[in-house]
Amino acid sequence: MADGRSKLQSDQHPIARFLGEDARMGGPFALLGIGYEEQESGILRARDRRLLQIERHHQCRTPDADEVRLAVHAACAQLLDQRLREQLQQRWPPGKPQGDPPAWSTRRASQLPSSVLRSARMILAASGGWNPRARRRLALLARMYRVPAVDIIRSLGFSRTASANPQREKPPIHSHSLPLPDSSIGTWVMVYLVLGVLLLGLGVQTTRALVADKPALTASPAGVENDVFAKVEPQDDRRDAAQSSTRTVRHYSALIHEIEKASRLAADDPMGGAQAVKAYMPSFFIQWTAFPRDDLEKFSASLSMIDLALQQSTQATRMFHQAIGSSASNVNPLQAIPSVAIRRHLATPVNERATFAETIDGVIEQFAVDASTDDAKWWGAWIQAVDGLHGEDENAASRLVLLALESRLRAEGGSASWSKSAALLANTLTWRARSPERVWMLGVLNDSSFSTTRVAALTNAIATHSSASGVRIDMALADDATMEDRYLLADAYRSAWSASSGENIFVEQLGDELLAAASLTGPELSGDVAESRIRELAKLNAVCWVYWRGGHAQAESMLELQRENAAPPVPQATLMLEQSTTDDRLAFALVNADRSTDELDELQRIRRDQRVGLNTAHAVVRLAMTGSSRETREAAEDVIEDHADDLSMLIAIDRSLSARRVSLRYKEMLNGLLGISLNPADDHWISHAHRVILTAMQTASSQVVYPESAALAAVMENAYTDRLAVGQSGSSLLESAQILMADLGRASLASGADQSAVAEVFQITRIKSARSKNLAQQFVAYQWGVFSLQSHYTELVVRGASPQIQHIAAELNSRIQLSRSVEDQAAQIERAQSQLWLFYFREGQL
Amino acid sequence: MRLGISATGILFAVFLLSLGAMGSGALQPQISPLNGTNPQAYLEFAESQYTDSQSSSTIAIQSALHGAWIANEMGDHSLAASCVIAAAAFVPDRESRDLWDLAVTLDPTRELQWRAHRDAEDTAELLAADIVLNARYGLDEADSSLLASTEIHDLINSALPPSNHTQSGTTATRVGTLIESAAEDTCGGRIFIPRKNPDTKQIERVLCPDHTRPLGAGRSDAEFIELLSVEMNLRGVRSHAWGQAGGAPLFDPTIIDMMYLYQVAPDRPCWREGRWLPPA
Repeated sequence: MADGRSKLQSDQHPIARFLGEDARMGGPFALLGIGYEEQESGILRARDRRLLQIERHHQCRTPDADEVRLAVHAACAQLLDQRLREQLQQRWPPGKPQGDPPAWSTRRASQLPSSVLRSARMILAASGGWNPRARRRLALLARMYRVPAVDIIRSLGFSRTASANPQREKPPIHSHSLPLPDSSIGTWVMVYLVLGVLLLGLGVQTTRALVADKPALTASPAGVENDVFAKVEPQDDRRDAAQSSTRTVRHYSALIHEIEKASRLAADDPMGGAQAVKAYMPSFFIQWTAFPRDDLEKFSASLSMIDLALQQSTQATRMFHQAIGSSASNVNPLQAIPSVAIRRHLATPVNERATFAETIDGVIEQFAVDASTDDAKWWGAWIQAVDGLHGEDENAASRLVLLALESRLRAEGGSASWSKSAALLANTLTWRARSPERVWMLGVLNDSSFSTTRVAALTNAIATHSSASGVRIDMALADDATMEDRYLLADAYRSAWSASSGENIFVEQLGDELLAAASLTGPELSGDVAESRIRELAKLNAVCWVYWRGGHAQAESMLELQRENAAPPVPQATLMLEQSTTDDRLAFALVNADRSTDELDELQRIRRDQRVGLNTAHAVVRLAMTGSSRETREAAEDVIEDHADDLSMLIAIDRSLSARRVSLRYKEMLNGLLGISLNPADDHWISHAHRVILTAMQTASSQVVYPESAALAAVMENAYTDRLAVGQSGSSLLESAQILMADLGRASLASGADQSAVAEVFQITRIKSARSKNLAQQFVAYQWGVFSLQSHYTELVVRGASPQIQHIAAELNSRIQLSRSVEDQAAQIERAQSQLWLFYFREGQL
Repeated sequence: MRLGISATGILFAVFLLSLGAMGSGALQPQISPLNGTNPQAYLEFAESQYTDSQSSSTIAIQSALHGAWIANEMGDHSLAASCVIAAAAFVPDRESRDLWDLAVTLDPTRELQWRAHRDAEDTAELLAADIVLNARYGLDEADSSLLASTEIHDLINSALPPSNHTQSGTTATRVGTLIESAAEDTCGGRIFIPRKNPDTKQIERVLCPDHTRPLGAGRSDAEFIELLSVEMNLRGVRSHAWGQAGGAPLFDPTIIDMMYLYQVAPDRPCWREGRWLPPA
């Protein structure tokens, strides 16, 4: 046996012997073991890995090893050429990366939906790249969609860039042998000659590609007009190598018939079946929008059967896959979409497949989200695809169009193309009452993440081109509009659409108000905006609660009143702790009174005052502790009680705890006054009392220090008190929230909720509340508890509510984690509660 | 004979030694490789690092957080919480609060453990709070020498977020100044001091003339608010006031946050060659 090789090894192909069977699947990608998405650094790393693999082989010093090294270098050289790489992708399958640990490998079954990828990319962009904020947001996104965060990170190309070309589909793997000579000198000359010819051929092909008109897969950057459709005709597709084999079929029913024939043929004659597919697919790509839904499914089912039947013949399989993918790179989305959809549909395991129509819907969505063009012709073709698929289903069509608009609104800059495309897209929407596009538009106007220039073009389009009723021609933004202008326009839209709705029924009106208020509450609200949103939403939610409890008449009057703005309380200028002559005089008189009657007279005088100064408070406290008679001490205690909320009195009481002896009687008085539950005889009483007084002092001073916040807290307290049933009363905002939680908990359990689930909400609320640092954060914790229980309840009483509820919860989760202030969090949770009420009133029981 | 006994003794000793070595080897826990698949292995590895070495602590924390991340991705929130608690064991109590918050967020059934940790008194923080209190009231108990302690000094200064500071200089400096003023104060922190009336020759109680503001009110409203807030934060007393407009949101801690804080890269879960590496 020559060279000491075993017979088994000599039979094995050199590439397979050194690099494994996967490397032998054909083409440079498989040889290097990389996918299509690798860029230069990844290609070079792959080359180094392969060379190291060869080096580690026990036959690394043989000529075979040298040949494989040459092949690796040649593959690397080919793939480093960007244009050549793109061409090679059309011909060769991707490589299989060398093994990842299971926890990090891409799970085939959990292919991420495009909506998740889109959100992930937007998060990265909005966060300014890979940073802690982006990481937190992505982790939340993963939890929202219940996918592993690792998958999202990998799909974004963590530590490397990921390209997102929707038209880059993977052709199926097929075997192809790379001829290599055996080891003789003469054949080495042959090897070099062959390689030279190969390189020369590749060079010629590269030159042709550079010189020839190559249709772009995506449009040129914004601002550059490019009439890409001038060259788009199915017959011009250079990848359709056998033009003479295509057959034109005039009607979709005939196409279905022909493909069904092909599926029967393929069972016995795979090549025949493949050729038939190749002949008729171009017609399908042109006519697919004429297919009714059922016939689309029939067509794809026939293709699926052909795919199965051809598995024994690699040549037929290759022809079949080339045929179905032949239009995937077409610049006309109307023809590219079905081609991409078929490939994706057939690549999905049968037991995980959605309907073909759903697959097409997903591809249409992906095209819209990933498109970087404003070209009106492109979008016109895309709209045709939407119409073709969804026809009469306005909701489904609107959803896609709104997604497309949202995606384009996040692009930078404006252009004449965008104005045209915006008009096209806006015109496809009905803008009818209660249509999703109305509330969507309100949200867009209030969301600063959408470019004003592009939003302005859209408003112009709505005002001049769309069928939106109530929108006048002057209701449009200028390119340099501010956020304030956008808010005003949103209000104008809201008024126009409320007026034109013509609804008189209370619940309908309430629903419209809730919808509008929720739409106007965008993510990441700034301070003043957050406060105004909280006020409106809290009052609307209070109306809903009252209505739910049966107070219909009261709810109606509350709805009328909620539009009136209450005057904010006048804030106090200072803490009023300054020294004053009056204060000093009173204090002096008190502590120097000779007799008990004098002390009592002074105390009576002080009792009549609205406030006491700090020195006077010190004097009163001193008398309460060490007054000359019992009457004096009791009178001093009365003064203390009268002024227990005054900051000065609280400071004086606090100071008194530092005295050497504090009598039991005095402690008992403070227990009652301050709501201290600890036994006065307890060793820790003083430290506990001090903590309570600290809290009271800060509350007393908050009116001066944070007057706006104090006013907001008062508004919220009223709004939550209004939600209580007759006979219930809450002494504070938090107490009211706790009562609401208890009511919802009971209602949920009565409706069949799982007890442990309800208990968990209370437990989590308790924990969040304990982690809170102030009233605002505590309130948010309880708000979350109310929302969670309300979600449970709504899910139980409204059939089929789960997906919508989960969507509301997921959106809320995302928004509150993006919040920059506690007021924004409070606004988002009130918004989510409004959404639940809206769902309840519109979909469930009244 | 004697030589034979010695040889036997030596052989027997060697035999015993080898048994001991085998035994210790057998008793040593076999920790599975850390390759991104088994979160339990990360927890065990973290626990095995429990020595006084700083580098061991860092590795242990990183391993525990990797384990928490993987366990959470797999849906095992209880194990994830255990990993986070294990990480907290390597961090000083004061700094471990965030980790404990994360653990109870992942697994709310740990509430009792969490409360026990949270409510445990921090002596240094209480001491710092007492200093602030005594300084505000000008009491004799205020001891400025305690401010020389870096720990006390830093605790006082860090008790308020930077956005809440309204005056120049640090809180600790102001507290120190208050204490020094009180030391020079003739009343010794008393509100009323006895003084002979020059006209009536009677002893009467008067307000201490050294005070420009009533005792306990600080030297200004802003200073009073600051000292109050600092003391409340040090004592862990929650405010019942809404707080500053635009105040800090209430976030649930996430594993990603902790991983960032402790420099743990989720894409490098494999422990090889003494460092964290990406999967091979």
